Amino acid sequence: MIKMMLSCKDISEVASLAIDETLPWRKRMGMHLHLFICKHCRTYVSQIGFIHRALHHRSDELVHMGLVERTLSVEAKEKIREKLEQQKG
Amino acid sequence: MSKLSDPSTWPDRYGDSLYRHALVRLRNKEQAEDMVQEALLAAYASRDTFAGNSTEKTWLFSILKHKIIDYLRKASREQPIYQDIEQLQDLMEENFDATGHCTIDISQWSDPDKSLEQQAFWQTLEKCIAGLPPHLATLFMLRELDGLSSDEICKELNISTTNNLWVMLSRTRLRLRQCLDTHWFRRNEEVV
Repeated sequence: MIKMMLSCKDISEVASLAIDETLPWRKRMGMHLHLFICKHCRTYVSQIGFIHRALHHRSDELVHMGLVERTLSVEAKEKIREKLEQQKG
Repeated sequence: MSKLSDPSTWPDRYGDSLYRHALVRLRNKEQAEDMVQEALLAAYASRDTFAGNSTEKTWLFSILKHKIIDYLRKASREQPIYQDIEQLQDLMEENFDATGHCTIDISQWSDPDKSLEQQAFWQTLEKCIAGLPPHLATLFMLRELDGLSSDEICKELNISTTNNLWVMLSRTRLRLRQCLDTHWFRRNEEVV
């Protein structure tokens, strides 16, 4: 028997899957049915969507906010240059 | 062979941007430096394969990305993945009862997009990511940052089925949501 009424635990999995893949229509229907009646899960789905969006900006923001170094040290560049010269032989 | 610039100019021309990418990805200066060095040496060794279909910079970035994925794959194989999954079992029991109903209070976050403008939010997110079990952090970042497909991640990390991967991704998101809820959104409400 096909389980149409999903639980909140099911929704945590299906909503995550919806971020990564296209949901089959049965799962999509099941999710929408549950979300229609469950405010907690509606909030949950919007929050994991927010995290997904935030992660897309992560690299730029970490640099922009000064949370990672912007430059490779002069010493490291010199070391790599020497190794490249050695390979050229 | 398509025209590449003199490799001895690569560290100055591309070193900073390659390093930033590696550092954001690995959050460790020494590892990031090593990855840049490995990528540039590998690029030099395979310079004959550069077809000129992309720019030199794009080509070097793609080599770096593969080096990083390879590094993460090797690192994640040193510890059995089931230990990470067991760690998340408690999380499931905290969040859901035996029938699968949610047992915690999930309240709305106040203006989450505004958080994106705050340095402290990103620091909190970094702490939450750093607190993830290592395998789950790796597969989550391969998905979210590197954009690898489910099949590619399963192959790279030796995960038997995509179903297993999807369950692990969902639990990682559950854990991250909970961490941000506790350490950012609820804390900010208390301050207000």
